Amino acid sequence: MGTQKCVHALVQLQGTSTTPFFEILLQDTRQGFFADPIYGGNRDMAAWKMIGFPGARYDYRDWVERHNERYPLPPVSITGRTEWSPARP
Amino acid sequence: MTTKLPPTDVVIIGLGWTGAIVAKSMTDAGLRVVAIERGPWRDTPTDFPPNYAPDELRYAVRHDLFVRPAQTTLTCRNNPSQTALPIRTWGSFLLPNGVGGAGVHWNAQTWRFLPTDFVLKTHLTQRYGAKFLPEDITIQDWGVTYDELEPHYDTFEYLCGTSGIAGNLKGQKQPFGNPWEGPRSRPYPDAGAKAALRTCAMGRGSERNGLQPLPATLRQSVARLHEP
Repeated sequence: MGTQKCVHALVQLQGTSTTPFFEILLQDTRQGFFADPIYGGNRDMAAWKMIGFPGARYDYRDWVERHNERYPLPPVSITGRTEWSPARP
Repeated sequence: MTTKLPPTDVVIIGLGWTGAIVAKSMTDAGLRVVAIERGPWRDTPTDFPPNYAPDELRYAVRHDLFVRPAQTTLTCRNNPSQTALPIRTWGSFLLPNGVGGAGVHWNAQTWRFLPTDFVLKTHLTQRYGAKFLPEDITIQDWGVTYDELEPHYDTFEYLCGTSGIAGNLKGQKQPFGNPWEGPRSRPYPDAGAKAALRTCAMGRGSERNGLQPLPATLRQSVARLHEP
């Protein structure tokens, strides 16, 4: 929505720099890709699986002193696990 | 139209850490207290239940807990030649909003000031000479010393269940704490969260190089709740 507004503004304001438009586009893309799937992007936590981020787990205390070990559990989002996602339309 | 509210003994403007502590002391003493805060009402079970995950986008990036720039607009300029413009996104400071003030979103780091911080002008002058400070540097001594504030630091740390490792107990230096801190009358109430510091590569490397890494002093009580 923010991006649509920005495009509109640039059309109306000839001569305005395209930098703010690109900055918002980049920011929205980043946020959509990396934010919790509760916001509608990052489906099935694809971004988190890619970077190895375990997501919104409640407690990491057991892992505080375990260095250089791969965390074995799949990511969870605020709304739950990948397996709980509704089927693709 | 003026709304006339019932009279009260005390009105506190701003119910953050300071206002809340003052309110508790005054109500304990039998006074009627009304506290005024901008923004929404917040309470623990509704706004901060343990089964709720505050996510980075809503809170850290979009500043959900802070004043909206449209709610209280501040202008800023980076140097006197600029025209001050409204701040659209908070950056170098984050204005609290709602009951609890900054206590709602602080990072809970509770370092004490160093004894020299309270007498900075005297300290720098004694250490580097009277000509060290340029004339337009306006720093002053606080007018209150570390030793005078120490009992209050202590009270606050025990109120919060602050965790950390003491570096100086009644003038005696302690291992693994901050060797530069002022004397504490007693240890922290909580030994603190498991610190990866002493086992991680950076901690070990720091010690090998003669440095003394120490855990951050945090109000994140993990051992037990403290009710002084």
